[in-house]
Amino acid sequence: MIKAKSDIDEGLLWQSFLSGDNGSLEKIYRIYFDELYQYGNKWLNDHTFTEDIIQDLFVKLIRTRQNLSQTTSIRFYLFRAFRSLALDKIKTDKKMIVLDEPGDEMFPVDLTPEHNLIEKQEYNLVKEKLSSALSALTPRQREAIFLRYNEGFSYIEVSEMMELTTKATYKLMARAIDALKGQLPLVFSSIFLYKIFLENIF
Amino acid sequence: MQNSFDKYLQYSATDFALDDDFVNWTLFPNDENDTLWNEYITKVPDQKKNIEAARNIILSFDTSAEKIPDDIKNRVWQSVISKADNGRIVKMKPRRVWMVAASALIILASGILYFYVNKNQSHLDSGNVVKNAVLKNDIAPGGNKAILTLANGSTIVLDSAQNGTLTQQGSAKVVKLDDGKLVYREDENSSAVAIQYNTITTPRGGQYQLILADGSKVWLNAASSIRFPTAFTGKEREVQITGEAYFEVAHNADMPFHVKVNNMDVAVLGTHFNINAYNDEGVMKTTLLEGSVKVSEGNENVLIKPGEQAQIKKSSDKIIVKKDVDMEEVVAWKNGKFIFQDADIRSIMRQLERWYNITTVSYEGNVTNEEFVGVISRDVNVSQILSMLQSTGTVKFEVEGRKIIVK
Repeated sequence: MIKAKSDIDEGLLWQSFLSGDNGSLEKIYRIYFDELYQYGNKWLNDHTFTEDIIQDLFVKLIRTRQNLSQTTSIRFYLFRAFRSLALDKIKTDKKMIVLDEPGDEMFPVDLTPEHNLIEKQEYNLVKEKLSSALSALTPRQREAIFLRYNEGFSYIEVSEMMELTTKATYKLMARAIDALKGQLPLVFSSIFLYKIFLENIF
Repeated sequence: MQNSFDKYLQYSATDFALDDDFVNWTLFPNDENDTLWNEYITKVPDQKKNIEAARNIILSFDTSAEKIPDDIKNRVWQSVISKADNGRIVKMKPRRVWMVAASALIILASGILYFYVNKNQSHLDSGNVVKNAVLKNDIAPGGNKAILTLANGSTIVLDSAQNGTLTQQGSAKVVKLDDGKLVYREDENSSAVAIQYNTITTPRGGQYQLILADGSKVWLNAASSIRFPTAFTGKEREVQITGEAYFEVAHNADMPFHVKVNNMDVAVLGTHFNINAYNDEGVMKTTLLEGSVKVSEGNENVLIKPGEQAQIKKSSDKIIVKKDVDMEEVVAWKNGKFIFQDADIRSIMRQLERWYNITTVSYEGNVTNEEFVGVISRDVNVSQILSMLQSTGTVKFEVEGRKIIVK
């Protein structure tokens, strides 16, 4: 699980970045890079694009340092900024045709040749079940579920990120959970689930 | 806390999956909430089914974070720093060959710090060079330039070609995107079956990026070429290259992807790797960033892992595998940078020749054997790089037209 809480005093780290210390920003970058990279890469299915967004995000932080305010959760701040930068860029960037028409070929199955036949069969089975469960959800329902359960953001954070009221977020989630109930394969810790889920999200 | 459990008596599985305390316990269990919830489950066994269903939903999406390789992390951070400083990367340090290897590590490790310390000094150095008039003229960097040769032999110059669909080749449409990339798209309306081969050639001072019909991405460095079919059919995907190219091959286990260079064959299923096979470099290098590839030459073949580099010396069939290769350095060109790590002046000049379209580099007198360590953007004029090298005090340059004399 991605831990929502860290031992580091985030308020202090952020404050020290705001007051001009780039070393603190690099610390922040190194703490959150993996998560942002994974989130973006799986969502956008294009690691070059993900790297560009992360780069833009941190360049923007450096350039707009004077105008930034205090934050209690750096993680939330970064994810929200990443999401909105990515959406902006997708809207203005016609080259991201990929996102409008995600065919199967855009989500290559990441099994290495070493995986044996049984694993492949299990993978396909689980993939089928989860795909059909997720296909019942709208993209927004999937995103809300993903941000809440995978990234561990609170309802308030999810609603702020998705620009919804908290009430609307609850509704969105409730409908999603109702649709998922009884549909999900009982495979708790399968390494595949994450990949399959992300192949079907958005 | 005991009281607050009362409300859960009427909860459905959905209610549980929406409840903050419940989700927190499921995602972030600790001694305290574990005790409380287990106590509750024992008290109200009827709710166990709903709780399990809710946990299953939540945990289906609970996955561990992967560790992303450090070289990606470092590379993106480097570009943040250089972009935040208006695109100038300046770091160049001479290193005497007899110095212990450790010092190089320290220099690299302190790179970011070093960048801050040294940038003013380096700007100063550029100024001195201009004042001293060592460089009589300057050479601008290369850009996105290439020539597309179609199956029928006709050519299209890609730097000036308009955007949009350029031509139809067999069953594929050739589309030039706004950012200059070339894309081959399968045309479903086409009934043509014949596979046609196209070639893209970059000149000195040119680079190009394209997306093949199978979705694989290719970056071509200067003075390089790639020959490829406009659509992939059959059991294998095959392309031929010269010079240097970086590949991000789309995964397709049923159709292995082969890159042919001279007598070497690189076979992959779907992965990221770089091939440097310039004729004037003595060694052909295949470097793997992700996945696995098989490199064959003559009767020899080796499987390399991420971080490894297969080297084949000219006029030899032996394949040597080098481990722990600096990936950042290998793909620097694709990321718009020169990274020199323990590079002698001749190998640096070979890279500059290709990118700045320098026709001749000649060496006069006792040219230094020292090695250099440094990072600089490929967007700068050649003078900026030369002046930085010169500021190390070990080497001097004269530029005349597109000729450079090294002293």
